[in-house]
Amino acid sequence: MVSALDVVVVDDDPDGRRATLRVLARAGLSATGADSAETGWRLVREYQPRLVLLNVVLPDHSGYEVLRRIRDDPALVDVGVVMLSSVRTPEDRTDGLASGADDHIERPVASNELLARVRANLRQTDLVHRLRASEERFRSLITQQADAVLALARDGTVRFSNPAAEALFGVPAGALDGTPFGAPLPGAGETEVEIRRDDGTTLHAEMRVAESEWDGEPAWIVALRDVSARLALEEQLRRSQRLEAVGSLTAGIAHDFNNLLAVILGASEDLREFAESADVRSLAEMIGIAAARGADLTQRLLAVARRQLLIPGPVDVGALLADLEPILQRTLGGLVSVEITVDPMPWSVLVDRGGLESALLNLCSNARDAMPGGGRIRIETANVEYGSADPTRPEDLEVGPYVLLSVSDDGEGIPPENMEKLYEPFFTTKPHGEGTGLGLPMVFGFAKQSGGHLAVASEVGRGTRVTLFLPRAEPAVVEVPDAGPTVDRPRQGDLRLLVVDDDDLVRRILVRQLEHLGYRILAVGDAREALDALDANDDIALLLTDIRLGGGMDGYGLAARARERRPDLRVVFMSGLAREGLAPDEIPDDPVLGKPFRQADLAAVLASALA
Amino acid sequence: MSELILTLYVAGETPGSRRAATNLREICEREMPGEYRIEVVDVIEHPAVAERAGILVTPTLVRRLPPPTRRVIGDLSDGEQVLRQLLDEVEDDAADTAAQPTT
Repeated sequence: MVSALDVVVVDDDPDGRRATLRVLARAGLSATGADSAETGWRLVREYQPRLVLLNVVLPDHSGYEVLRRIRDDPALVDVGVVMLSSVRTPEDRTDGLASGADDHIERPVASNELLARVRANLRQTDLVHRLRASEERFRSLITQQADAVLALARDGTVRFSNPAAEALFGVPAGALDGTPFGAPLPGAGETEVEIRRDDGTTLHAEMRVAESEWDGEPAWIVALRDVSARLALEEQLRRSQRLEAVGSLTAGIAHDFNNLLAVILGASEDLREFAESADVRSLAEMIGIAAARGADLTQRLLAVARRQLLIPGPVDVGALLADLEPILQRTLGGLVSVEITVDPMPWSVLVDRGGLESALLNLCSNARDAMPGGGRIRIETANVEYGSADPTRPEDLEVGPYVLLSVSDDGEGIPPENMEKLYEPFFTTKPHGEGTGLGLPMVFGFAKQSGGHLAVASEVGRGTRVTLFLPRAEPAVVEVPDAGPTVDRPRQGDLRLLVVDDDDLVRRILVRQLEHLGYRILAVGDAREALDALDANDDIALLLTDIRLGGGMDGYGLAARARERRPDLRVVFMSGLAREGLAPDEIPDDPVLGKPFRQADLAAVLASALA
Repeated sequence: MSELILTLYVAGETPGSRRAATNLREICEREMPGEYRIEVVDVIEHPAVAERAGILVTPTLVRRLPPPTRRVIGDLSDGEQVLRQLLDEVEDDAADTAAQPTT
C-alpha cells in the first residue's frame, strides 16, 4: 500500500519543525508535524507515512522509543525512519542506525541537503515496499499452487512448504518446516516417488526438481503432484484391455468349439435313436451329456467375454423371482433360507431372461458357498433413477432408470486383497476342482453386456452383497411369453430348406437331423452357392444359415440378398457366438439358434419360423 | 576411506523402488566394492522403522555412516550426483542432525 502522507516530522522545536515542513511542502511533498513522542507515534500509526523524521531528544520519551515502537509494529514495516540530532559523540550517529533507523541526519543541516536526504530515503523505502509486495505475490503464487511445493536447503531440510504440500503429506500447517527431507537429485524430467502420509497410507506422486534460491541461500524447489488417481485409472484401463483380449480369444475358441459340439451332440442324438443295443444307447447318452456340459462351459466363457447370445426383452423381476424361489430353495440345500423382498411398484427390466436367471442362480450359489454352516440369503429389488450428478451412480453406468437387484449373505465376507480380482476370469478361492473362477466374471459380463453394472460390497466376517444394476424396460411394452411352441417331429414333406454352413461336419449332421424331422434339404457351403441354389429352386421356403461364413459374405449379407429375390423367404440364423460384431439394435428380427443345439430346439425354431 | 553404511527405504515392489535398489548396487559395486553395506527397508512392512527414521517419501537413501547423516530422494538414476552426496563432495556440509538414526 502506498501511503497518502509522505512525511511526519517529530520535533519539539517549533521553529525547526516549521522550517522543515516548509522545505518539504515547497518540494511538493505532503507532510505534517508533531511536537512530542506520543503525538508523533499517534500520527505515524494513523497515517502510516512513507517516512518519519524523528528527533532523538523529545520532551516526553526519547526518539529511540518511537523508533522501537515503529519497528515492533508489523503494520508499519514499510515506514522509513530518519533520526535527527545534534551530534555530540560518535554513538549518536550509530545508535539510531543500530536500532533500525534507515538514516541519520546531523543538525544543523542546510535545507537543500535535508531535501536531498529525504528524497533518497523515500526512494529507498519505496524500493523496499515494492520488493516486499513482489515477494508477497510470489509467495501467494506458491501458496495457492495446486501442486505441493517444498523449498529445501542444500542439506535437504525443508525451509518452506505450501498448503498443498501439507495436505499431500497429511500434516498440520508448518509441521514440515525444519524436517529432513533429503537431497532430491534433480534429474531430467520427472521422478516417481511414493508419499508416506501421516495416517500411514501411501500416495503416488510425480516429483520435479529445480535448483534455485530460497531466502538468499541455494535451494531445491521441489514440486510434487499426486498421480494416484491417474495410476488407478491406467490400471483399470489395463485390466479392461486384458479382459477384452481374453474375450476375443475366448470368443474365437468358443465359436470353433461350439461347431464341434454341434456335431458331437447331433451325432449322439442320432446314435441313441438308432442304437440296436442298450449298451450303445447308454454310450450315446454319455456322449450327449458330455457335449451338453461342454456347451455349458463355452456358454460361460462367452458370458465372461460378453459375447453370449442375449436377446433382451422386458422381464418382470418380481414374477421371475417368484418363479425362481422354489427352484432356489431346492437347489441351495436345507441349510440356507432364501428371503425375497420386491419393490412395491417394481419396474420391468430389459434383459435376456435366461441370462438373468442364470446370473441369479450363480450369485445365490456363491452366497451359499460363503456360508458353509448355513444362513440366510436376502434377495431385494429397488427402483433407481440416476441423474448425471448423482454421486451414487457407478462411474461407467449411463444416466437413466435402473432396477437394483441385490443378493446378500451373512457369510465369511471377502478379504480386501481379493476384492480387485473378483472380476478376473479364472480367479477362485475355492479348492482346486470346486470352482471354475467363472461365476462372478460371468455375471459381471452379463450385466455389462445388458447395459447394466455389477457392484460388490463385502466385510470380512459380516457378509457380502452383490448388486446387479439392470436397465429398466420401457413401460409400454408388454412382456412376451418366452416359450415357443413345442413341436415334435412335424411332417413337412412339401417344404424345402436351404442349409448353409461352411463347416462340412456341421453341415452333414444338420442334414441328418433335418431329414429326421421330415424336411427336404439342399445343403451348401457358402453364400454364393446358396444364392445359385435359390435361383435354381423356387420351392425353397426357408433359409437356415450360419452367421459366420467364409467366402466374403456372411449370413446377414446372404439373407439380405436372398430376400431381394424372394421377399417372403423365411430365415433362421445359426451361430456359435451370437452377436458376431453386431450392436444390440442391429440384431435381426429373424430367430437365432445358438450352437450347439438339440434336435428338439431345432424342430421348435423351424416350426415357429414356418408357422 | 571408512565403510559406508546405507539404508534404502522403499515402499513395496514399485518400479521406482526396484530401479533405486538396482542403481544403488551398481554405483556401490563400481565405485567402492567391498567398502559398503546396504540395508533395504520396506516402509509398508516396517512402518514403525520408517516413522522413527522420519521417512517422508520413498525411495529415500540414507547414509548412516560415516556422519553426518545424508539423505537422497529418487530412483538414484544419476550416479554421479548420488556419488557426490555419498562421498561428501557437496558444497554445503551442514549435518542433518535431526535425522540421526535412532534405531
